[in-house]
Amino acid sequence: MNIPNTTFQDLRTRVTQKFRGSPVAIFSLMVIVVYAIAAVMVMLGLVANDFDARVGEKFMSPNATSWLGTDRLGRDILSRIVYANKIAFIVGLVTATLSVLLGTLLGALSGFFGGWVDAFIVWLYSTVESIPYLLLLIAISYILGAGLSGVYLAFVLTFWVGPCRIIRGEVLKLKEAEFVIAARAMGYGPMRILFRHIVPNTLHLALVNFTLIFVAAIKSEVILSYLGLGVQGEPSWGTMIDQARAELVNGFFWQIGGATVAMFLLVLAFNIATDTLQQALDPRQTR
Amino acid sequence: MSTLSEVAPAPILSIRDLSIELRNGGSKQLATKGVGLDLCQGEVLGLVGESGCGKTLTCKAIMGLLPEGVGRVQTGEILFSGHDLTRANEPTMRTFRGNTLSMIFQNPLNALNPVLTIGEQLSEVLATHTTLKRSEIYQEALHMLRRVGMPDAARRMRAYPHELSGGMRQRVVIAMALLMEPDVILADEPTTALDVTVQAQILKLLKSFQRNHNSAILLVTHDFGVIADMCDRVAVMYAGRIIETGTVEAIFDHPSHPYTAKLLEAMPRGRPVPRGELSVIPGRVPSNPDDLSGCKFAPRCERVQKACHRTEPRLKRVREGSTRIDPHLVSCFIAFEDRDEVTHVIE
Repeated sequence: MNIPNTTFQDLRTRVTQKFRGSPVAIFSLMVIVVYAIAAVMVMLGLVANDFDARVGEKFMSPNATSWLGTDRLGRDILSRIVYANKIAFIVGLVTATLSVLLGTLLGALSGFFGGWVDAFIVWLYSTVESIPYLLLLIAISYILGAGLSGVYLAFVLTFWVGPCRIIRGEVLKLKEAEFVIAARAMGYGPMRILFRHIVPNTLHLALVNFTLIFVAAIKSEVILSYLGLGVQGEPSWGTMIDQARAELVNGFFWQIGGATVAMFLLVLAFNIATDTLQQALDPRQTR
Repeated sequence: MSTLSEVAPAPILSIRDLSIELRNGGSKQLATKGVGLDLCQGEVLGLVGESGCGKTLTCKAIMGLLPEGVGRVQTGEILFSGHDLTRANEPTMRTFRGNTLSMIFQNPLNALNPVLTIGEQLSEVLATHTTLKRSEIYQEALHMLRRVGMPDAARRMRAYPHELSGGMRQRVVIAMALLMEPDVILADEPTTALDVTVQAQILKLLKSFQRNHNSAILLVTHDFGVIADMCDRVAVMYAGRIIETGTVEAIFDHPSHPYTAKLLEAMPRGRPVPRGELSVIPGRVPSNPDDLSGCKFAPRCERVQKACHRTEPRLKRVREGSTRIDPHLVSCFIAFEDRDEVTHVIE
């Protein structure tokens, strides 16, 4: 069996080459970087501090002080969009990190040990997967009450399935690889072989899954917040779109337009970047 | 060399009547049947045969690494340092593997972990089997890498496998296998993946290590040239059975099984061979040897007789090439047919 090189340097070279060859991918990367910087600046309190402050009349059109106008309470829409970006980023980061860790751990155990461990974990993810995911998210959010912690839990409990399934398959394949047999022939124990010799060889899959989950979490957060189950007391793109429904009738579209475009740009950029990453790291897998 | 001593030394690794069963879907078949091998200290035993005749499986059975759920030792025992390896549990096997019993794999490109550096992979062996401190482990590993002739060893400790050439990778694999100075080394075609000049260097390296440490090597190959350079004794396998065994001299000078004779004929002997003149053995290894009654080589044998199809010959001693300590054994009826010598059955 031919095992592709998956050293960190090698992954880096492959990714750099792939991105260099595609201007669209570079542009999408730049968009993500701009969003990320904005999110960090919000966290540091440098921008969008005034997201809750009344800065002018209600339903103002764009002007010199409020570039995207104001909402029904006279708050600056641009500030709220930028602040919501921070929420989106944190949700994406936390969800993707935890889901990939959990999925990798369970997938690795499942593929490596087989038997009842495998049967149980496969049963678990098949069950989670068979429930329509939005319904599951809503159910978990109802149980835990609205708010970010419920969102995190709901997301991790649904999103670990993807990496788990993929890592399990890869581990199943890798455990028959010659370098693994060679490691067993050196007298290494099963845990050492699994976590030092096999799992690091699935890093590229974990990376791709990280970006996939990141963007899925951002979208889902918007949906949950739109349904009133997500973020409370802070602006989120979802709550902004929700509030803007009624305003559309009055011909006021700055809030819904701004939030939608902000989300659309980030999701699109992420999708393009993920595609490129996937092509660079895992040419065999197409989704 | 064992042929020089007067008394036969006690074998350090002894395989008795080893039959390995392979399961393929619902069907089962024996991949090896009744294999017996003795490996003494300081000896290099060659195991020759075509692809698929059970050489690699025999090695994996010794290591306790038969593919799970597919391969299983059906009968027989493998005796090594007071244990029967076919019955030893995993923790016991782990104390042997890579320590007193190590295996060198066929393909150095695949036998190293792509994401760990050479230094990490060498150090891990020592970390597993010794109680050395970190700095001592590094020094040991580096020392070993120098001993296997790795140029610029200190820098190579930080290199990843894909940054090295095939020959250098095989040196690393060998360094890992030799690190604990094992008593028994199973070398499964250690040079087939390498080009000829590198091959010679690697074999020389193995040989000199074996001499220095008085280790025993079971060298699996299908190259009689390698056998001639390296081995003291040879065992020839066909369809999962040992069909002839003896000292290198006995096998080369008096090949008694038609298959061995054919294998030797098929070997180019250092002179240019005109097109089409290399000898070929027609036919192929039977896919399920147990479906054939009698000698498993009979369908391909030029000297086949009626008796060959009826019963399977057993290993018997031939006079030519036998020494007091190392008998020359062959399982073939016609090897004895022209002679009136007294033979006795070896059980």
